[in-house]
Amino acid sequence: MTPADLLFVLLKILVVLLLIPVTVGFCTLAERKILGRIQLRFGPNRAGPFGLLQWMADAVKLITKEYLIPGEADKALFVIAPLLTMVPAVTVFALIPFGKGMEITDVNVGILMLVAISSLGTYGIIFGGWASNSKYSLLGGLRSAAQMISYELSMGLALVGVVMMAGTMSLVEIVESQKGLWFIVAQPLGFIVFFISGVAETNRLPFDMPEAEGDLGAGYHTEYSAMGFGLFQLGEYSAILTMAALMTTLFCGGWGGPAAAALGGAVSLGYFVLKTSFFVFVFIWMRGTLPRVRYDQLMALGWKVLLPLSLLNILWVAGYVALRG
Amino acid sequence: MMGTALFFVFAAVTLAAAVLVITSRSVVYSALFLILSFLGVAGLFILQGAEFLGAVQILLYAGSIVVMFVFVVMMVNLKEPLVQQWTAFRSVGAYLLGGLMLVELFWIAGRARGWLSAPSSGIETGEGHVEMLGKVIFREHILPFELLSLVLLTAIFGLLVIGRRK
Repeated sequence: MTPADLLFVLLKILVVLLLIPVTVGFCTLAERKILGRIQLRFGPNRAGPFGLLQWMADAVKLITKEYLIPGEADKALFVIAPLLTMVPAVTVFALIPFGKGMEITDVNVGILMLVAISSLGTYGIIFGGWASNSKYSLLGGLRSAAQMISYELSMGLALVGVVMMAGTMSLVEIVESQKGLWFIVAQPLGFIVFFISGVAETNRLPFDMPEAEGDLGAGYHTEYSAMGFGLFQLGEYSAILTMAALMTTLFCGGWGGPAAAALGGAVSLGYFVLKTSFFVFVFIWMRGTLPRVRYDQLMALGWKVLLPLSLLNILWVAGYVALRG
Repeated sequence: MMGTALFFVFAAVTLAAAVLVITSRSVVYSALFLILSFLGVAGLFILQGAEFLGAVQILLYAGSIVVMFVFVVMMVNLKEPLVQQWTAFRSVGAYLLGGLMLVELFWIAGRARGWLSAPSSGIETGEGHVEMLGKVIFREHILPFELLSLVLLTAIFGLLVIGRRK
C-alpha cells in the first residue's frame, strides 16, 4: 500500500465519519416530524425553516449540559459504556457499499464481519446498565442481553439464505449478484425474519424492552445525562441506519436500479440513499403505530416463530439454488 | 512493515488484557478485559490473512460467549471482590502448573517455526478462503464434524435434564 492509497482510504473514512452524525441528526428530526404527523401535531418547527435546524439545537444542548455521574456508580465503566455502543455502530459503515465502487473496504467475509462487529454493541447497553448501579438500569441491561442473544440467532440464519443465493459473503458481490432479481422477491420469508430480527436488535419499538419507559423508566440510560445520553442516542440511530442499509444491501439490490450500473457514481448512491431512507421511515412508522410487546411474547416470537421460519427459509433457498443449477 | 507494527500492537493488547482479566478485582471488569483480549486475538487472525477465523472469533467468543458470562455475573451481583483462599500449597501448585505450561508453549512455538518470522504461507488469502474451509470441513473431515454436533446435542440434553430436575 503506497502512502497515496493510505491517504485516500483515510480520507474516505473521514468523510463517512463526518457524515454519520449529520445523518443521525436528520434522522432524529425526521423521527420527530413524522411522529408528529402520525399523532396529528406539527412536530418541531421553531429552529430554522420548518424546524430543519432542530437537531443542531439538540446537539448543542446535549454537549453543553453538565455530565452527571451518580455517586454510587462505577465511574470508569459509566463513562466508557456509551462509547462501547457507539463505536461498533459506526465501525460497520466501513463495510457497506454506498454506491458503485463506493465502499471503504470490501472484505471477503463482509457479512460475517458486519454481524460480528454489530453484536458488540450490546455490551455498551449491558455495562451501562450495570455501571449505573440502579435497579431499572440493570434490568434494562439484562433484558438487552437476553434479547440480543435470542434474535441474533434467527438473524444469522436469515443471512445464511442470502449467502447461499449469492454464493459469496462479500457485500459488494452480494449487491452485484442481485442485478437480475432482488433477494426480497426470491426469498420473502428470509427478508421478513431479517426485518423483525433487525428491529429487535436495534431495540426499537415494538421491541424496545431494554428502555421501556412504562415499566423501566428509560431502562439502561435512566441515569445518563448530557453527552453520555447523546452518545447512546448516536449509537442507537447509527444502528438503525446500519440496519436500513443492510436491508437495502442484502435484500433490495443495494445501489442497483435502472441505469445505475452504467451511470455509476451519484446515480447509484442516489438509489442507495432512497431505499435506505424508505426503511428508516418504516422504522419510525412502526414506532408511531405499534404497541410494545410483552417480554414473554418477545421471547416466544424469537424462539418459537422466527427461528423455525428462518430454518424453513434455508430449506427454500437450498431448493431454489439447486433447481436454478 | 506496517503488518509487523500492527502485530506488536495486537499482541500487546491481547497479552495485557489477558493479564488484567485475572488481576481485576471486579468480575465485570474481568469480562470486559476478556472481550478486549479476544478482539486482540481476532486482530492477529485477520493480520495473518484468516479473515474468516477473525470474524468468527469476534462473533462467537467476544460477542456471544462473553455475553453469557456477563449475564450470569450480573445476576449473582458480586459487588464484593472474591475472597481469596490461597494456601501456600495452592500457590506453589499454581505456579508450578503455570510454569510447566509456559515451558510447553515456548517449546511448541520454538519447534513450529523461527521466532516472530513473517507469516509465509499456509492460509490462502483473498478469494475462496471460505470455500476452501467449507470443502475441508464438509468433504475431508465430515465425520468428525458431525460427531462434534452430537457432542453439542448431548450437552443440550444434559442441560434440559438438569433444568427439569426442579
